Amino acid sequence: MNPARRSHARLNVGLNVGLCVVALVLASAAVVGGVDVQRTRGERADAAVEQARYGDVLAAATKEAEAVINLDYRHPRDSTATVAAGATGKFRRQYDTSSAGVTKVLLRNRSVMDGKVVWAGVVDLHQDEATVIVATSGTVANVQTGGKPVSRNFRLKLDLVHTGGRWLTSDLEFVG
Amino acid sequence: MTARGGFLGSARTTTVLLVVVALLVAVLAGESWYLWLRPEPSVSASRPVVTGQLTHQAAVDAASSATEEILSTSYADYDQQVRQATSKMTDAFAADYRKTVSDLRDRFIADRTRLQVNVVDAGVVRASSQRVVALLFLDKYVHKQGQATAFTPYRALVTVVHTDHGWLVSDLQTR
Repeated sequence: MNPARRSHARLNVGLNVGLCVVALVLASAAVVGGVDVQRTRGERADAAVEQARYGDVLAAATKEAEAVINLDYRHPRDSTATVAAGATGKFRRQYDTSSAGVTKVLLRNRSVMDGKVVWAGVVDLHQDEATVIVATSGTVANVQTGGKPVSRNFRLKLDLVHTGGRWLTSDLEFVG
Repeated sequence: MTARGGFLGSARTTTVLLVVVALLVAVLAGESWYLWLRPEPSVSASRPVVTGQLTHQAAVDAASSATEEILSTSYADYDQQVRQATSKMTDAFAADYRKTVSDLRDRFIADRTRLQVNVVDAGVVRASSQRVVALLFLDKYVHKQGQATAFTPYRALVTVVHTDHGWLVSDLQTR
């Protein structure tokens, strides 16, 4: 081999050894990074489930709150059945017990409550339990108001439990 | 030399190693993007909260204490209270607030009014790492000279944004 080729080959050896070292360092970093990516992916998947839970809980609380503030003496059974469908536990038992009385009051007062949820926020959230506060805006018309709708805004606090794949209201409080 | 440097000395080995290095750099770039640069999921109706609980709880607590401070005031130290309240707000919201309270100032002092607002419940409505919206249930007590104390329950939607000075109020709506 002539001296020029020998020198070139020596340079190539040096370069390739250097590239091997760089490749080894990068491969080690990629393995560490890969492990970190896997761990982070799992954490983000868990976080996504938890974050979706907020949406589910707020949707369930909004639906139940709107059922509670939309009552019509002309369709008392529909009104109370909608509330009962989103209820469970203590709240469901109380509501079932009092629904006959609620119907009588609706009919006697010719009451029509109409409203919607304007804002809802999660106070506390666990895997199977949640507490949500709800602000509603609406009207009530009955014999006392001469059948004219009068503005009525409520502050509600709902406890929900996750049961049978659904979030149901186990307690409901009108915050005075 | 040919025998000793046969593999390590060849140009083909250099090419292969360069390709391997380039691939590893690409893998590391992808991993870095995923770990540090991937954008946070956006807030939506089905996913209204995209932060951890500690973050949004801190923001809701900040919104609660700032709202009590902003809405509670007294004729005795009206101007000082306005200065303190604006320290909890973004510059833009503070400018709006100063304009509103300056319109009310004279009447407020003439009536010797004291306003006490307490947060009785607070919840997170929407949350990202930079912006949190909180629903607050507020109890308002208004004392005016010579009149009985008036109590009003009401609600507020408070937006706080994350800044170098902590969580600051950027919007406050009441109903």
